[in-house]
Amino acid sequence: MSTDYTGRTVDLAMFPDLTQPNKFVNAEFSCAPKAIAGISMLVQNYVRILLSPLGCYVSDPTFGSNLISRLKQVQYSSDITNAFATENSRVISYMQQNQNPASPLDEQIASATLTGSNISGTSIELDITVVSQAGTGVSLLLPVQWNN
Amino acid sequence: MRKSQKTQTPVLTAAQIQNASVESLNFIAGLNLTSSSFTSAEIKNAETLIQQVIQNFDPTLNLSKISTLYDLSTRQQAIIYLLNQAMSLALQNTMSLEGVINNPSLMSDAVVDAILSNIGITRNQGSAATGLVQVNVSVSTSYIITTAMTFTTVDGLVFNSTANYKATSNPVNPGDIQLYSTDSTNTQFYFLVPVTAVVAGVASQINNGTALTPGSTIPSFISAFSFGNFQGGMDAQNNASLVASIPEGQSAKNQVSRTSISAVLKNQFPNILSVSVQGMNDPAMSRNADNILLFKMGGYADIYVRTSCSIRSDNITKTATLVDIDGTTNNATYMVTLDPADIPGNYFVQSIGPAIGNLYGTYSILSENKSFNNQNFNPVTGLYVTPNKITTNQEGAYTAYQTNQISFQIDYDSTLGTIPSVQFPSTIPVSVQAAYQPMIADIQKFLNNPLTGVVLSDYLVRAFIPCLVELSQLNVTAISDIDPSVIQMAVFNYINGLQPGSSVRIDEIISLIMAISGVSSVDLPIQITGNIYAPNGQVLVLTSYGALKIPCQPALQVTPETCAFFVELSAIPVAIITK
Repeated sequence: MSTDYTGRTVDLAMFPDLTQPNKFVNAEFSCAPKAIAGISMLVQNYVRILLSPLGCYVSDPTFGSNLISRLKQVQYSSDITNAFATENSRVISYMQQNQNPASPLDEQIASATLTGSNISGTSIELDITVVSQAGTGVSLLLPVQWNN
Repeated sequence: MRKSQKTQTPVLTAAQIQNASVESLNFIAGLNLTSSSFTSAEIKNAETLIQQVIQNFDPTLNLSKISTLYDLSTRQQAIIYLLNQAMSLALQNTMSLEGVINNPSLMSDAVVDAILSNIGITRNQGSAATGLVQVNVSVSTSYIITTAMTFTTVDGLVFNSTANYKATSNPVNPGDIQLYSTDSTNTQFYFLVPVTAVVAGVASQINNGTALTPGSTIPSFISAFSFGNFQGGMDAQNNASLVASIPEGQSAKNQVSRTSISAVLKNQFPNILSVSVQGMNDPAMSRNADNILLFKMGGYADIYVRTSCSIRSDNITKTATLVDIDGTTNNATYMVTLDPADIPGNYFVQSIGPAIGNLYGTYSILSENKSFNNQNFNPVTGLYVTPNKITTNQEGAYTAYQTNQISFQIDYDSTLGTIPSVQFPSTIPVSVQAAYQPMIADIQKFLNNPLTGVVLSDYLVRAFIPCLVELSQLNVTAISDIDPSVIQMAVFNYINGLQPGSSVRIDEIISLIMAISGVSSVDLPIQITGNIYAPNGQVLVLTSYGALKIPCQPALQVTPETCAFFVELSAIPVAIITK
């Protein structure tokens, strides 16, 4: 299914195309910057806020989450689930409060769920599915270094 | 993605930034250039402003609060905007006259100096205290003290030798200083080194007996102490005082009104602390009535100046002439004269001793007779190009025209085995130490300059008539240990900082002391004594338990406007009673 993005406002792309299946999330500003809109922009905003430390902006104390710091303390796989549940809820709530209600539905978040996780060596891979208000969803693999 | 902020200190508050001086905002990128300097509301408002600006520039950008662009540009630029705004406010506060007047204590010296230089006001940089250091040694030999030699107190005050000296038991050359034996057994010796403080300020006026440590090795060294109280230290002018001088700075720079005369002189001589002008009909003006009808004529002014916080001392070598040898005691009387150029306008002679080697002690001073000489033209100094009219010795006292003839006695020393006529040659070189205010001659020369001086005027410069103040012991009760010098310093600064026309008030002294942290009470009564050295040689003694006020005695030219209070730290005895 294709989407017509004509007339949309655009944001700066900082990740590879996250709409591709099982794509790892790695930040990379290329020499030829890309503009994004729609579900790609939604997923990018979600990931960015999820990975930003809570309280990193004085003027915006609810921006960000404690996911990274909590994942560094996990001992059991259930800890990952618990940490994600709390911090994901915080991010979803923040985005819903601050997103423009007039923006297209595929740029408004509905939910995000942790569908799986894998601890491998020095990183934890989170398998996350983000769903927009339009019903479109994207699955992505989010690697988090956990022993640094 | 934004990384976690590291701990960043120090961080300036918005108020600090706004009140800081421009050149010392201490903004350090990565250290205190942070959003923590501002409130959440300030940042939100700035972000909204920046968001609107960028959105207007390019409506196609998504600048919602959750967008990446908002994160990367709006938030950062909002902080930069606020920092620029804070610096702009700081500029406003520190570059306007109103800002300086309202916040003098918040301004840096550099900023205040820069602003006030626009109206010709220059900060008085203060002066360094001077004194003598007694160096005790165990061997009678020669000791070389160079200008590189330092002496340091336990409080870290540093003093330098004023010149290269050679301490010896037989001083014969200029620069030689006498090595004395402490007792008849010749087991300990000492010499006195003239020193000056490295840093200007009152704090360096250390008291007699303060222990000092030499900066480099002195052979056979035992100990070093201050010999007598150090004098002449003055703090640099503070910003509040500078701002108070704005009216003078803004006045017309001419030599007509009292304010403008004061402004001209302070502009030319930043060390001048206060000026008082006695004009045509003022009570202490007498020079303009020297006519057959005793009419007071226009065109005359006596300009009293104070050029140092405390009274200064200086030495000069002169030749004394033998006047008489007493037939009974065999003691000799000598006479020496300080000419106008010798310590100009000196108040009184403090000591007379041998020209070489001697740094303390004095022959018996029998008398001082002040006169004046305004007749001789000196082509080198130009001082008498336009001589000022002076008709009496009283009018000439403390001016650049003053002469001072001192009579002193040297006792016959029978142990030398010489007869009096051999022991007392017809002339001897002597070192004369006198108390004075600096620059009296320089200021007179400036006013008499034929190109810049006021035509048809006769402005005579004079050092303020000194009123030397002494206090009875200040018994101060404190809840904790207080350094008595803190109290001494507060009283010292108060009395020496009084402007002409003021009184020394006990209630103000008590208020000053009570304001010092830890002080709980000050015992009464406190007696203040003042000795006014009137220009005719008379000493007027004043005593009070309330307020010491200069009397108005125009015949002596003593009025509140012509006298200045001076006090030394040694004249402010303090006892601390700790509860």
